[in-house]
This record gives sequence, structure tokens and C-alpha cells, in this order.
Amino acid sequence: MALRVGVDVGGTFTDIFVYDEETGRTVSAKVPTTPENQAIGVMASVGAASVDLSQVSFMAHGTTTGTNALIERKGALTGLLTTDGFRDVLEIMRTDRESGYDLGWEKPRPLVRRRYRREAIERVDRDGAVEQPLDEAAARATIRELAGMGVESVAVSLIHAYANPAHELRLRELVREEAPDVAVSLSSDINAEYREYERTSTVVIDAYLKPIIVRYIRRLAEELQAGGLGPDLFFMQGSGGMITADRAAEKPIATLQSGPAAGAIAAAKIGGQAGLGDIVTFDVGGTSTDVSLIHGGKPFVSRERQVEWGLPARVPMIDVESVGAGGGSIAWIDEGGGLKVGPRSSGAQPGPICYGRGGTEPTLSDALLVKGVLGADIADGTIALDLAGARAGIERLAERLDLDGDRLVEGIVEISHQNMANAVRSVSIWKGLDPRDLTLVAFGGAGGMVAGPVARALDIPRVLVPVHPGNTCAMGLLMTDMQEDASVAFIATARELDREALNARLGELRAKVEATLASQGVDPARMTFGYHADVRYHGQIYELSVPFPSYPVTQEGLDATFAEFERMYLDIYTIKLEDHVPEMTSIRVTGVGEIVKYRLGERQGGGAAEPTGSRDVLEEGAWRPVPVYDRYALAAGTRIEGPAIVEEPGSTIWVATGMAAEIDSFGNIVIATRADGAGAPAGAAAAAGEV
Amino acid sequence: MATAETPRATIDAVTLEVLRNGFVQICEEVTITLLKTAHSVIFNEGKDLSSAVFDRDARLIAQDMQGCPVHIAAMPASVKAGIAQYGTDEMSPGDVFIVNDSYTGGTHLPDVTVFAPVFFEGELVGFVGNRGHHNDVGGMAPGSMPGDATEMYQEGLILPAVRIYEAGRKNRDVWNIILKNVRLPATTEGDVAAQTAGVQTGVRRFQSLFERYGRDLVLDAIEEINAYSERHMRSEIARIPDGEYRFEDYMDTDGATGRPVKLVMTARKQGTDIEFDFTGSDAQVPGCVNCVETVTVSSVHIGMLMVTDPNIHPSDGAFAPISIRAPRGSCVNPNPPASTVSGLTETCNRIIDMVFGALSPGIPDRVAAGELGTCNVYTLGGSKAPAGGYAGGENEGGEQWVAILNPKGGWGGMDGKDGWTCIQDPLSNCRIQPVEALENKFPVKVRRLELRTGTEGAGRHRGGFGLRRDIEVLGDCVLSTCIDRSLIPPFGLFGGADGAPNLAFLKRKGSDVFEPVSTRMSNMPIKAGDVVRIETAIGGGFGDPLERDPELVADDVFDGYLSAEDAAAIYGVVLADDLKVDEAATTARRAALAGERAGREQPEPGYPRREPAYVPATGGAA
Repeated sequence: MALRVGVDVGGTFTDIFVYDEETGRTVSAKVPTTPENQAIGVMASVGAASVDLSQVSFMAHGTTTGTNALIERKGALTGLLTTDGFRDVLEIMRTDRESGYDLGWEKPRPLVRRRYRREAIERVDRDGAVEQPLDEAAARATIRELAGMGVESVAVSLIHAYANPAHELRLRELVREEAPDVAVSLSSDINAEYREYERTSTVVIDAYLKPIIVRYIRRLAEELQAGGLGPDLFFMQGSGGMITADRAAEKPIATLQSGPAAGAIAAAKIGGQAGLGDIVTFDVGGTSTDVSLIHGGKPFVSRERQVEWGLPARVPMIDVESVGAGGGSIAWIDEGGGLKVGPRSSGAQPGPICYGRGGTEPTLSDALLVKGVLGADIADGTIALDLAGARAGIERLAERLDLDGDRLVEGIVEISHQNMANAVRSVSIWKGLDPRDLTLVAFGGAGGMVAGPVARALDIPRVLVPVHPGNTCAMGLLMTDMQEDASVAFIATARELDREALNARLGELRAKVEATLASQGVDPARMTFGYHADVRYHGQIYELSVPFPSYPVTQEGLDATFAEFERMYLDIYTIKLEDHVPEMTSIRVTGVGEIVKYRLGERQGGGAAEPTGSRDVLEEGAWRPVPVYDRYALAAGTRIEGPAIVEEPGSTIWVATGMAAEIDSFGNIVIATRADGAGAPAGAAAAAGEV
Repeated sequence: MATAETPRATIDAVTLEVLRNGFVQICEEVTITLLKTAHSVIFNEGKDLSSAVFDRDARLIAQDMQGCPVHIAAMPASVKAGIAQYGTDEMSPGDVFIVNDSYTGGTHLPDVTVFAPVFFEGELVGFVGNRGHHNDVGGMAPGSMPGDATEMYQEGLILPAVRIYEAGRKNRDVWNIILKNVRLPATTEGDVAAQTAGVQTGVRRFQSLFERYGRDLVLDAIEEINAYSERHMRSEIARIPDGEYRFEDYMDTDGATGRPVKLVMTARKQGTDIEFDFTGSDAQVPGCVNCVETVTVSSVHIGMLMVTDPNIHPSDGAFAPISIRAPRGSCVNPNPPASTVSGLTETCNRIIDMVFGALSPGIPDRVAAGELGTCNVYTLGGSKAPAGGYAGGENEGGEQWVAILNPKGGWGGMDGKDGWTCIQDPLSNCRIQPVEALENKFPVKVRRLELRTGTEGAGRHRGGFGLRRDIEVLGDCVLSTCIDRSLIPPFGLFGGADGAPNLAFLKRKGSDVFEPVSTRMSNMPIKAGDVVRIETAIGGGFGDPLERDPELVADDVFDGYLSAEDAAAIYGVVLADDLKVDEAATTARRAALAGERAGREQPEPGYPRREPAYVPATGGAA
């Protein structure tokens, strides 16, 4: 009973990472994802890693079941109860369009069609006072009618419910009485903050997913138990913390974005152990690259995220930005004769030309293969890549552009680098972090092949590629704690804030979080709580999350919170706003329940680096032979000057000319992007000195 | 139009894309910086702002594609105004300019542009600018959108291009004048500071492109970006059949006398060039719907971007094949000091719509029927009680408040789909203010926010729906409106019905009746407890309603957008009790309706009909 197992389901592969607490041994494996029922792939991954389920002490899971149901619009038949006069808020949305000029755009269809959106006679004011009591008889009739139409799940979102949830709570009781088989989600429970469209969208997503996630969890738990699993199954949340399967069934929206969150958590923990400062995570997959920032050892957490354009989910999620640039991004020519790379992707099927599965348009992976960075066979020689096909595809495109084939190979790679680098830049500007102070932690199938040049373009001095970079997200599932969050709108300027009311609301939130953690088996002695406020200057809409120094909040503590806000503001926006009053909009409590976590093991040093081979690589217009190393033959402390290629099963790491790689004591590969200043702009020498 | 065909030798497809991407990224970073620091709700919640980079001759290189379309298309004129005023020789590193003068580079006064020259190794190499709609720039009405203005001096403070920073030093004299002339000086100061911060970010990024790639390469790349955009636009124009296209439409009123204003557009398409000629349009008018020439030009550009490939990179070159003739002294190219408040918010939309209408016979699959056609701006303003409460009555000495509201509505049907419901008019791309944000910020209570449905805009693809919003004011205040398309509704195309107009109503406290109020007025006193209702337009229909897929009609009935009676009467779709389509009855009903229709004249709608006219080019002659 000493195995800790993480299984992360991605778009193409289901990854497993296993850690034996007693021996320290780790195992990882990859199997194809089974989209129709992800449980099949999960069970296959368990088999692939030869895990004896009866020996498992802890099992954590990240699933895309919720995300897929949303994107494919395969959620439950869902109803919505809103305040009289407001049932169309969900369809009106925020009235903007995705692109300024595109008449071909389709406005997203609401998850709940109008026929299932019903109004309750009631009204609560912005301060929580009841202006119009709830008409219960009418509400009961409405609920019965919805149930009669086959609605499986109901979302409740009333105007100003964040200020007083009484009517929502009562409606939940009425649903349970009138239609006990129908699931219910309340906006005041899921997201008690202001702005009705965002709150309604959030609770509707939760309700839409609930029956789907409940069914999935039940099916998976049955299969795992039949296989011998004793303990409960745990689920990753988009916030980066764990919850039990029962809790995930109560609040399925929490499971959205759990895969990317696990990757960010892993990068944060690996970076922490390696003693790095702030980090940008860089997960390069087939169709997209996920980027997030780790500051002070912690990922940034966003309070609102668009699950897709126009569909906000306002629950805490690690702030992971996705850009449509990955190994499968297609190079193409637009009507004006311009060369583009992505966001169109060859996807898993047919995939790049070099996969030999019918792809005809050249992709980034094809360019990396022709360039020589990617070897002609992958997965331990079990899959041979079609180099001739990739080269022919690129030549065809080059002819149409009147370009030399080699130039196009490097061009596709350079434009991809730039698309990825721009995403990193935008994210770091939003967060107010200077790329020159960051380390880029690269993982995912293609991360190691592009990370060095992308980092160099951004003046990022250092890249870290963890061990098993193809399984980083699964590893991250074993590196985090239990977590519960609760928030509520609290709108008050610094001048007129009622501290007693503030402490009362914080106390309610804390009690809620504590009870929810306890119900998931967390020992109160292992709980810690954090208290934060969303603060902005009066009149602005982007808030900063600022910690309260202690709870209950004293006057000094309150002053310190606002002072901290002003300091953070100056730090991030580099502008000081005199005569502007800070204003609180929401407060939140985060409860963490500590559990055992996986940490990287130390590796032995010694031994010289001997290449296992060599291949020709195209770099800045010239071909030259580059040594190839076997990653896991390299001992800690080994240093390799670029150009060099480091290979491992399922992943390739490119150390470009002018860079140098070193194996650290945990087996991570750390690349200095400007080892000797060669080919780098002024300042490179200084940057290299940091490594 | 000669240079487009041959790319310059030094710039290949890879370099072009890398540099183009680099310039787009600069715009994005300008916008991020601006958004992060902006103060007013309309700036940041509404996102009524845009960023762009220009070359040393003020030609557009790239723009923020999420931004407000009309801002961008007109922004080069702002930079040109600065060059005209000072000359590039008089500009220094660290200079930052501000401008809003409608006649020299502005659009209407609340749209304030901030821009700065970019220097590299002592040479002026380009400009970075952004433009945002300010909450208030003074003038006769809170919000500075007086729909009944008759000359520009009433609209607000007029700033020709002047420096707010001179060689990096804050020019306090100019700031003092600005802040003394606006109603919300703290907000204005914060917003101008945010615009400045955005521009400064862009200047640094622009310089680093030069450092990285070298002066000559970047300058050549700018030329090639323009050539590339031009090639792309020409390839799209080539799809439009040659010939002469004509369309007429109207502004409801000139804004002063109540007379409608006629606009005439003749588009002449030949090869890969197209000309838009406004000859025949009314002379400039006493009210505020006059549209300055820069806005007329940008409206046509926006229309063309919308009916062509959405991926055209919108640099200066994209517009080289498009020429525009707007007679001086007409309502689409007035002389100062004619008021132009609504030229931007109303006339601009009309011109964009007319591009769709005019070209519809040639490219029916690329256009839309008429949309809401207005920014639908209405403004509530007054004083808050000094104690912070919102009760009505005497609020002397209380904090001033101004709520600028611009709810959006339906777009016209298109070849493949129904019109969009509740979407921004074409010239803008803001976001509606949440009910809960309005109630927390202003002394108002929103009583209703719902779709405005109706049978107007019927078609094979029907018009999108508008919205209905009822706002009760909790204190005495004033109401101003600046709304068009409230008499002459959005046009239908190809047999689709015209849509429904934008309307405004007031229900006095204690009354049950919503009385219509003028959609163009300033400072109407209203009392605590009164309710202001706005109903935004339903877009025009596209194609014959009798050809609409009966299943879609049944869906519309099920969702309460349409009654079963209207489904039968207008669409000829007969539904059974379970709302399933009765196919036999529908076929019969549609045949009967078609027969009836053939047998009689269509009733006159009570306003001018709008029909496109197209004369194909014959035998290759122009």
C-alpha cells in the first residue's frame, strides 16, 4: 500500500505517473485517450504502468470530461431560474463580438435555450434587502414544468444573489421537493460575486456538467474498485488543489482546466526544488502551447476565465493562457500571398506529414524533422517518421512562396517561435513581470525542441526541462494539497468600509471552507487558511488579489492591506495614482489541507558526456553535424555546449548554438540561453553569468 | 497602384510575417497597458478603445484587431494632424500629443487620441497611438454627446494636436486647461495617463524592433507589409463583379429640424479597384449627423473589411485600391463648425450598412441586411446625495455622476445564418454594462433586461433581436438621447422584411404607461421613480420568409420568439399542438401565401423603401 498514482487525460494521450513511497521508484507511461469514455483510457494507463491497484495508497485524476462536454455541447439538458425580467441575460451576453470585422462569425448559442429559461417572481437589492419576496407557489409550478420537459439539471441565478442568497437557497429546497431527481446549482454557492452575466454563465456551466461528471465518476470509481483500488479517488481542480470524487460531483466546474493546472503545479514545485526564482511554464502540445507564470513559488490564479470565447467561468483557476501554436500547427499561404503558421492544426488525425497518416500540409513538426532537430524515429524507434515526405511537402510550399526550401524550414520554425514568444510576452506584461528575471520550464511533447530559441528571443536567460517532460502534468497531480475556495462580493471603498461586516463575511466564508474540507476527511490540524480581497481603484475593473495579514482583520491589518494594494499597483502598473480611493469588490478564503506530496529524488553526479551519435542540423542557413546524447545516460553536473541534441523516449531537447545545457542534481536539464554570447545581442554575457 | 506587384528583394515571406507579427504584438501590448491602467468604466468595461502603429508618414502599419474599428481607420488622420501642425522636425523623443478636434484628425470630441513619435538613433521612424472614448469632455451635456448640438463648440473642449509631454516633461499648462473643462477631471486624468502609459510601452517596443532587425530591414518590411495588404485586398475586390452599384439610405433626422437626411452611394467596380462616390447626398445640415471626411472614409474601409477576407492585414496598403469621393460641404464632408457628434455614432454606421446594401447584388453571400445602425447612446446624469445615499430631492453639493449607456441590438440576416442578436453596431465593439455594475455605481435600478422580439425582420434568415431595458432612476436627474434608426428601420435584402427601429420611452412615477420620448434630445429633467425604457432594433431579414427552414420557425415558436399565429401568417409554417411542423399544411399554406402576394401590391411602409440598383459592366468597358 505505498503507490501514489496520478493519471492525467489530455486531448491525445492519457498519461500516468507512479511513485512508490517506500522504494522511491517512479514509473510513467502513455496510452491513447479514449474520448467517448475516458475511464477506458485511465484503466489502460494503469495496465501500461503495471500498477497493482490493491497496492495504491493515493490516486489522483485530472480529466477533460467536463471541458469536452462543454466544447462539444454534450452536457445535460439544463434549465435556468432567474429573477423576473432577466431570463435573457444569458443570451444577450456582453454584446461584443469576437472579431471587429468578421461577418462569418457565429455568436455562441447559450447553453440553456430560452424555452428552458424561466423567471421567479422576486427581487433583492444591491445591499441584500428583499424588495419583493419570492413567490413560492409560482416557483413550484415552474420547477414542475421544467422537470416535465425532461430537464436534468437546474441552474439558479438571481439578481444580486451575492448580497443575499436566501431566495436561491429556498429555490434549491423547492427543486428538491418538486423534482428530487433534478440536480441544482446556485450562483451564490458557486460564485457569489457581482456582474450577472458572468455569474450566470458560471452557474450554468456547473449545472450543465453536473449529471455528466457524476456519471463519469461513478463509472470510473466502479472500474477502479473492481480492479482492487481501496482508497477514494481524488480529482484535480483548475485551481491547482485536490478534492474528493464526491466533492467533484457536487461542484464539477472545479474540474475544468485541471490538466494545465497540474502542469503549472509541477513546474512550480520542480522550480522550487531546483531553487529557481519566478517561472514561466511552457507546455507545447500538438495544437497549442499553454503558458502560465509562477511568482514567489505560486502560480497566478485567475478569478475569471473564458472556457471558450464568450463563455466565462468565474471560479479560481490557475491562469494558463493557450496560444494556437504547437507541433501540428500548419504552415499555409493566405490570399494575399503571406506565409502563416497556425492556428490551423493538423490535430491528432491526420497529424503532420511525417506521421505518414495522410497529412499533406507541412507543420512545425515537419519543419523540425527536416531541420534535423527531431530524429527520424521516435518512441524508441517504434515509430519511423517520414523525412522524405516532410521535405517534399515543405519544398512544394517553398516553391509557391518563391523561397529556398531550407529558408522555409527555418522560417516555419521562427514564426512558430515568435507566436509562442508573443504569448509569453503578453502574459508577463499582464502580470507585470520582466521576462529577463524568469526561467522557462518547458514540457509537453515538443517543449524541449523550441524552448531555448523562444526563451532567447524573450531575453529569458534560462530554460529547465524536467525529467519525463511528456508526463509532467501527471506528475503534478502528486505534488499538490487539498484545496477549497469560497468568495463573496464585498463592495466598499477604503473610506467607508465596515470592518465588522467584513470580518463577519470572512468568518462565514471560513466556516464554509473548513466544513467542506472536513467533509472530505481533512484533519483540522492539517488545515491552513488564506484571506484575500480583490482590490482596485474606484472606477477601474481589473482588481488585484491582496492578502489580509491576519484574521480577524484589525484596523492596522486593513490599512496594511490597502497599503499593500497600492504597493502592488505601483509594482505592476508602474503608475502611482494620487487622489484615487482603493475599493474592495470581493473577498475570498482559501483553505488548504496538507497531504503527502511527491518530491524529485536526488541523482548521482560523475561520469563524462559521451554522444551516442550525430546528425546534420540546419541552423542559420548552414548544415552541420551535431552530437546526439542519451538523456538518461548523463550524470548530474554534466555540461554540454550547444549545438547539441539530447534525446529521451518521447521527447527531444534542442540546445542551439550559443547555449549550454547542464544536468542538475534532480536530473533536470538546465539550458543557459546565452552561454558564451555567440550570436546573441549585447547583454548576453551578463545574462549568461547568472547560470 | 503600381508598387503592389513586386515584393522588395530584401523582404521574403518569412521576414514579412515575422515583422508583421512584431508590429501586431506592439499594438496588443499598448492595449494591455492601457486597459490595465484605465479608469472610466466605458474605457475598461466597455473596451471602447484601440491601438495602432504608424510609419513616419503616419501610414497605418498595424492595429489591435480586438479594438474599436472606427477608431483605427480614422487614427492616421490624427497623427497627420500632428505632423501638419508641428512638422516632424519640431518633434522630439519624449513628446506625447493629444488630439480630439473632429476636423483635424478626430472623429467626435469624446474620442481622444494620444500619440507619440518613435525615434531610433536620432531619426523619427514612426508613431504609436491609441484612442479611447472618454466619459466626458465638457460641453453642453454630461457625457459630451449632445444629440441636439448645432455647432461643434457645444460638444465639448476642442483640442487640436497639442503636446501633453514635451521631451519627456509634463506640459502642465495643457493639462490644466483640459482638467478645468471636463466634468470628471480625476477620471479624465487617469484615462489620459493610461493612454500615455500605453503609448510609451509601444514606443519602447517599436524601438526594440529596430534594434533587433536593423533600420533598413524594418523600413523595407513596412513597405512590404503595405504591399502585402494591398495584394490581399485586390484579390478580394476581384471577386466582386464589375459594374456600377447604387444604394440610398437615410438618417432619421438631421438632429435639429427633424428632417431626414438622404445619403447616396454609387460604387464603381473595375478590375481590382473600387470607387465609392457620395455625389447626390444631402448638403451639410444644421444638426449633428454631419460626418467628417475622415470618418466617411473609415466607414467605407470598415464596410470593405467586413465583406472581404477577415484575415486581411488592415494596414494602409489594404485601402489603396479603394477610393472615395465625398463632395465638400455635403453631410459626408462638412465644413466646420458643423456639429459632428452623431456623424461618428450614427452616420458612420449608415455608411457601413450602405456598403453592404450597395454590393449585395454582386456578392450576396458576403453581406448582411441592415443592422441596428446606431450606437444607441443615452445618458443619465445628476448629483448624488452628499451623504452617499441615493435618495432623490435636493442633492446640492453632491458628487456628480454620469452614466453613458449604449445598449446594442440586432444585425441583419446573412446568406448562411440569422442576424446576430444583441451585438455591437459595426463601428464599435464595446461590452454592455452589467445590471449589477450599474446599480452599484449609479443611483438607478434596472427593472428589466430582456430580448426585444417581434415579427419585424422576417426572412429566410431573419434579423437578430434587440433588447429591452427598463431603468428606474432613484434620484432626480436628466436624460439625454442620441439615437438614430428610430423612424426608418434597418433594411431587409432579397425579399426579407425591414427590421424594427430603436425606440425610447419614459414611464412617469405612478403611471403605468410608457410614453415615447425623443431619441435625440438633451437634458430632459426626470424624477426619482421614473423609468426609462430603451428598445433596440431588430435587424433586417435576408431572403423570402416563405423559404425559411420550417424547423427553425418551429424552434422560434418553442422559444417564444414568435407566436404560432405569426409563424403561419408570415412564414407559412403550420405547427401541430406539440409544436412539430405540419408539413402538408405548411406546403399548402406557403403556396397560398405566395399566390396572395402575387395578386396584390405590397403596402407602402410609410418611410422610403431602400433597394439596391446594379448595372453590370458591359463588354469590359468601365
